[in-house]
Amino acid sequence: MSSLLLAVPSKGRLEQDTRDAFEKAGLKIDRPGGARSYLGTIDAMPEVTVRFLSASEIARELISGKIDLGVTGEDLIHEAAETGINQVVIAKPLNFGQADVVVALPKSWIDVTAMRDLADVASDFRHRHGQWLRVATKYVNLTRRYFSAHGIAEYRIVESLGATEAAPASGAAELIVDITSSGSTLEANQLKVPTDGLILKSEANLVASKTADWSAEKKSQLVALLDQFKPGLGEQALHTLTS
Amino acid sequence: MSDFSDQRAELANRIGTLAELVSPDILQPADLFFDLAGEDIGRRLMLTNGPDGTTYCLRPDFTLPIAAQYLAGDAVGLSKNFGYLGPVFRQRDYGPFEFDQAGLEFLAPKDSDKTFSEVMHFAIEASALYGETAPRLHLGAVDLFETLLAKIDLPDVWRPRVRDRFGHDAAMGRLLDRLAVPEQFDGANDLPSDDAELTQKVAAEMDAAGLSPYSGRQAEEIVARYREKQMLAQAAVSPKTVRILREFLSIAGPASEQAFRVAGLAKKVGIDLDEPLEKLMTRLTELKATAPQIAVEFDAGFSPRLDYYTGHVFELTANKTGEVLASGGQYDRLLERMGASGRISAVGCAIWLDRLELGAKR
Repeated sequence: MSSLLLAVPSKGRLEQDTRDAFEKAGLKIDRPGGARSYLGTIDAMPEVTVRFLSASEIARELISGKIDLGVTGEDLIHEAAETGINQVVIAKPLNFGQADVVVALPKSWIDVTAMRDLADVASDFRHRHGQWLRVATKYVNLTRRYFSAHGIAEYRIVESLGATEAAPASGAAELIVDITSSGSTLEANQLKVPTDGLILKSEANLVASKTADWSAEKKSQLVALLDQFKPGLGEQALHTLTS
Repeated sequence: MSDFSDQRAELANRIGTLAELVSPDILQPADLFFDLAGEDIGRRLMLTNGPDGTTYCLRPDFTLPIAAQYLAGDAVGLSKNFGYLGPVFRQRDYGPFEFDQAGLEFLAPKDSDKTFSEVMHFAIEASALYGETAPRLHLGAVDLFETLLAKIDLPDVWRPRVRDRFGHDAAMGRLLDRLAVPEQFDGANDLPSDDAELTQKVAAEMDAAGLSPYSGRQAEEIVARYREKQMLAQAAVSPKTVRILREFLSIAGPASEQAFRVAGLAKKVGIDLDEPLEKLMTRLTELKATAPQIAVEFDAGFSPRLDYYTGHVFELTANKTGEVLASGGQYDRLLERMGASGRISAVGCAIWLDRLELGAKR
């Protein structure tokens, strides 16, 4: 089977924005079975197989090479596997799905304005309370890397898969690492972001898998598809993919 | 499985003459490691979940499982020598996630200094078994740094923070930079100058956000650090202190010369480091006599970044490649951290068999 497998987000705003972006590039995606179907087609490129998946599943499958090309966020690639970003090529940012992964902590921490303060707080907390400072997040890999880059070692991650912003109030953690697009959720929970607390600016991207099985046929389909978005993009992506 | 069965048999034999050979469970509760070492080790663990939600890991080392087993037994406080040889599991950037280690853990030894020598010589002999007869020895002295830190002119609040960064050059460097060049005070300036009033204000803000006044960071704690930050902006740490710390941490090189540099610095700044310094000198003299083939380097800033190490620490590195072949040291704080009622001294080392075997093949 040598046809390009493209995965796009299966629901909500991300699905709509993705389909809009593809339509604008002359690649209208049809979903014949409606929202309950997980297969789609592109009239302009009938040889391409389209699958509707959740954005985090797309990230995982791009890393493992089960799909060739997909639309997902960089944050999700980082989260799916620690070195996942090395297994993919970010072919094109799509200008939607913007979200920042940030460190957020209670506004009442008037002594903390930057990450270097947090390093002291983490250290103090362990000596004072005999416990690790706890960080609630679903972004385990990003958090570990960012904290380690700031020399913070005295903390523990509490994995949180929903309503992370409530963790400080519920007592599950002292601070959080979470995604924010407008900042209103943080505001509502009286949380603030340290001046250098932005971990990653993420948005939806067209991402190609380095680990997928790239036949000559699939390569030419990839080039054709990407060139629809911007002439020359295909060759460029292919070059990074194979180097 | 291995082309080195002779060496392994010999190694097991030597461990057996020094200690009781044990093999703790491969599957360990992950909390044991998270509690002691935090996320730094956490990212290396191979994790799995039990049906009841308990998180387990494949043992990433032998030290903690052996210490836990000792504490669970009925000989706590009694001198016990343990040894091991078997697989450990860690996520790493290259190399297989499963690899073999051998080593010793001497718990509550009668004479820690003597035990340290024994352990170090065991590591040297183990390397020699694989043809690495002249490894380099990288020596550190946590006690020397802790003594300096306890005696140097520094607000108390900074001592544990500086200690926490010992062994992590980049983080320590950044901290010293901050102490040297007081940062602009970047907190809000419209806050009450009275502590009680400010504490009340912070507590009210916590309350409004639904934060518990009893768990997490307390209002008093936040205000105390806020004030201390204000003070730091007015240069509360003497430049001399930062200079001394920097100079001390930069001392590294052929061991005998470095010991004199430490002595010189101590004398110059009038801080008494005699006791740990004498211990270091004794160690170096002993090494010269018993292992003259080994190039010893002393590095005043060298330590594993785990705050349960307390005395001398070492690494043996391959003469040609510089790869770490064995590491160990004195860690008197571990057993207490794990729940022992008081401090129990301990000395141990781990040997990277996969690296020794790979080196022998080259």
